[in-house]
Amino acid sequence: MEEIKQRVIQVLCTTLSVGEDKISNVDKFTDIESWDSLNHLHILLGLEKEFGVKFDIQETANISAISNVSELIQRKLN
Amino acid sequence: MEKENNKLSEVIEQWQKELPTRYQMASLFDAATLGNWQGLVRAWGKSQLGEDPRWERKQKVNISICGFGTLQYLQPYIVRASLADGFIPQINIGSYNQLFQELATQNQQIINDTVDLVWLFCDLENLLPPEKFLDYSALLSENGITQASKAIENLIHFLKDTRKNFNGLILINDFFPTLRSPFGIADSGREVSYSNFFSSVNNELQKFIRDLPYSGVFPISGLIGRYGSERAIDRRLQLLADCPFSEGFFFEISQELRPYLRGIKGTIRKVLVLDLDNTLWGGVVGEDGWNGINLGPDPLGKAFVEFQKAILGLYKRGTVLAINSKNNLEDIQEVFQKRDDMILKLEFFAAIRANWDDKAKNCYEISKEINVGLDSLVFWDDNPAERMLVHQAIEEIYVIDPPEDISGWATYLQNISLFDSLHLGREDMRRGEMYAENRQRKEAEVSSTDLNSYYHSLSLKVECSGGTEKTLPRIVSLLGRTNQFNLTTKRYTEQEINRFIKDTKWEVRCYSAEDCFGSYGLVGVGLITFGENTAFLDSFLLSCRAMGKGIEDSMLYDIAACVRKVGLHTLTASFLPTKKNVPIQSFLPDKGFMETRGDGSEIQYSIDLTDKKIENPSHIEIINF
Repeated sequence: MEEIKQRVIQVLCTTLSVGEDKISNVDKFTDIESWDSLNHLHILLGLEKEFGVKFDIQETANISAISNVSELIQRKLN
Repeated sequence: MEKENNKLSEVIEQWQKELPTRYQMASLFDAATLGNWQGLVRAWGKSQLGEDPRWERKQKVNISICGFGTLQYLQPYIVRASLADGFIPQINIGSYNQLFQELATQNQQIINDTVDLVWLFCDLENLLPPEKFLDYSALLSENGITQASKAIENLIHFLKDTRKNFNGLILINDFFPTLRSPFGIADSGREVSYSNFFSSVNNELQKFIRDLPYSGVFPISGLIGRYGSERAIDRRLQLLADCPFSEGFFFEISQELRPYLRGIKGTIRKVLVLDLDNTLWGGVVGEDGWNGINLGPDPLGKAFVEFQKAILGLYKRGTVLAINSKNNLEDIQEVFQKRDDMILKLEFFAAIRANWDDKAKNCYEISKEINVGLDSLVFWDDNPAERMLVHQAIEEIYVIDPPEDISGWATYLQNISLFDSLHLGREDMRRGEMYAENRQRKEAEVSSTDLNSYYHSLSLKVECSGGTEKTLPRIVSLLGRTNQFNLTTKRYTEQEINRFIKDTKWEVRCYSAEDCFGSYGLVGVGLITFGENTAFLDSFLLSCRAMGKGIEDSMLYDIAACVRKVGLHTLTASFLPTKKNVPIQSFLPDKGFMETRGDGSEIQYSIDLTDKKIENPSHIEIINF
C-alpha cells in the first residue's frame, strides 16, 4: 500500500510540476497548490499509465485524494 | 527516465547559453521514437526558452485555437509539433465554447496582427440546435443538408468579417461521422445515408472556404478515417472533461498541423533525393546486372514497385526528383532503358549523381545544379551509414529513416507531409517535370559548342500578358520566392497586386515561356507605375530556373513597349542590392540604363526610350496577349 502511495505521489509531482515537499502533508488533490480541473485529467491518465489500469466512469468520482486513489488502485491490481 | 531527464536539462541549459538552430530543435522534438515527449515539452515550458528575446520573428509561430470543447488539452501537442519543425510556438486558446463570441468581438487575444493561424474547432452538433440530433430520420435528408449548410454559411459570415482585418491563415475542421449508421445495414438504401450526409455537408463547407481568401479546411474526417473513430474519441474523457479527442488522436492532429505551419512559414521541401540499389529496386545493379534486380513478381519486388508508384505520385504533384547513388552511370542508364517494369523513367529526374563520391558532397552538388537551397532537400536511402553521413555533414537536409519493413515504404512516403504546400496551382504541379526538362536543356547546352546555335535550337517563345485574377496567386508566389534575379525584392500580398491590376496608374505584366523541351510556366513578373512624365519599374524578376536564356531581355522589351503605349518615354528604376540578387546587379547598365543616383542600399537608374532602343533577342519569339 505504502509503495502504491509513493508512486501516486510521483505521478502527481510530474503532472503538476511540483516538488514532493508540496504534497507530503496533503491528501486531497484540490489542496495541492497547482491543481486545477484541467490537469486533473492529466493526473487520471498519468495514473492509468503508471499502474496499467483503466478507471471506469464510476471510479473516476473517487479519484480525488491520495488515500482513496491508492485504495482504488490496490483493489484494481488485486 | 531520470537519466533521460538529466540529459534533457543539460541540452536545454546549453540552449539557454546559445540558441539552437531550427534543425537542432527539430531533431530533438521530431525523433522517430518519441518516448517521453511530454516530459520534453514540460522541460521546454519550464526553461522559458520560448520567451527568449533573441528569437527572430520568422522563427516564431503564433497559433490561436478556438471553438467547442476543452481545447486546452491540445496545447502540449501543438508545442511539440511546432518545435519538431524548429518553430517557437506561442499558443492562444479561446474561452470555452465561445467561438461565436470570440469572432463577433474580434477578441484581440485570438485575432491580431501577430497571429499566423486561427484554427477553429466546431462540430455540427455545435452549429445546429442539439435537438436535431435526437431525430436522425429528419436530419439525414435533403432538408437536413440545407439546414447544416445554412448554419455553416452563418459561421462563414463571421469569418468573412474576420478576414477583413486579419492577415493570417484561417483553418476550420471538417465534419465527421462517429457512429455506426443509426439506420444499421439499411443505411445505403436511404436517399441521404449517414455517410453521404457528412460528405455533402463537407462539400458545402469546402465551397465556402474556397471563396474565403487564405483559408483552408483541416481534414479531420480523413484523419479519423485512417485512425479509426472509436480510437479517436474517448467517450469517457468527453463526459469527464468535455475533452473532444483521445490522447493518441491529439497527437495525430498535431502531426497533421505541421504541413500548415511549414506552409505559413515557407519552409516547404521541394526535392526528393533518392538512392537506387535496394531503394528503387531490390538488389545491386553493379553485381546483379540490369536483368537481375528485383521488381517483382515476388512480394519483395512488388514492394519496390509500390514505392516507385508513391514517388511518381509526388512527382506528378510537383516534387522534384534527384538520384544520388553509388553506381556507374552506364549501369543505371541500362536499367532505365531496358527494364520496362520501372515505373520511374530517367527523364523524370532533375539531377543525377551516379558516382563513387560521398553522398553528402553529391547532395550539395544536386542543390547547386538545380538551384535550390539545401533546406529544400529530403534524402531517402536504405543504408543507415549513408543517412548518418548526410545528416551529420549537412543539417539542413531532412534525412528520412524509412521503416525496417519495405512493404511499409509506399505508405510511409505518401504520409510524409514535407512536400505539402497550402495551395497547388497548375504551375506548382508541373514543377517536378519542369526541373527535369531543365536538366535535358543543360545537357543539350553542353553538347552544343556554339551558344548562339544552342539558343536558336531551343525555339524559345515568351508570352507577355497583363495580370489577371487567374494568374494572381502565381504572381504573388513568384514575388515572394524569387531572390536571385530580382531587382527590388519587394514582396506583395494578393490584395495589393489585385489593387495594382485594377489601378490605371499601375501595370502588372507577367511572362510565361516555353521551348522545344516543354513549358516553363509563368516565370517572370514586371510591375510598372506611371507618373506624369516618367514610368518607374517597381519590380522586375525572373525565376532562377529560367535565367540565362535571354528571357529577361524580352521582358524588358515588353516593359518598354508598355511605357511607350501610355505616351511616356522615360523609364526609371531602382536596384536594391541584397545578399542574394547579385545575378541582376549589372542587368540595367548592360541594357543602356544610366545611373542617376546611388548609395550602398539603393542605386537609381534611368533610360530615355527615344534615345536608346531596347531590342528583343533574335532567338526569342514574343507572343502578346
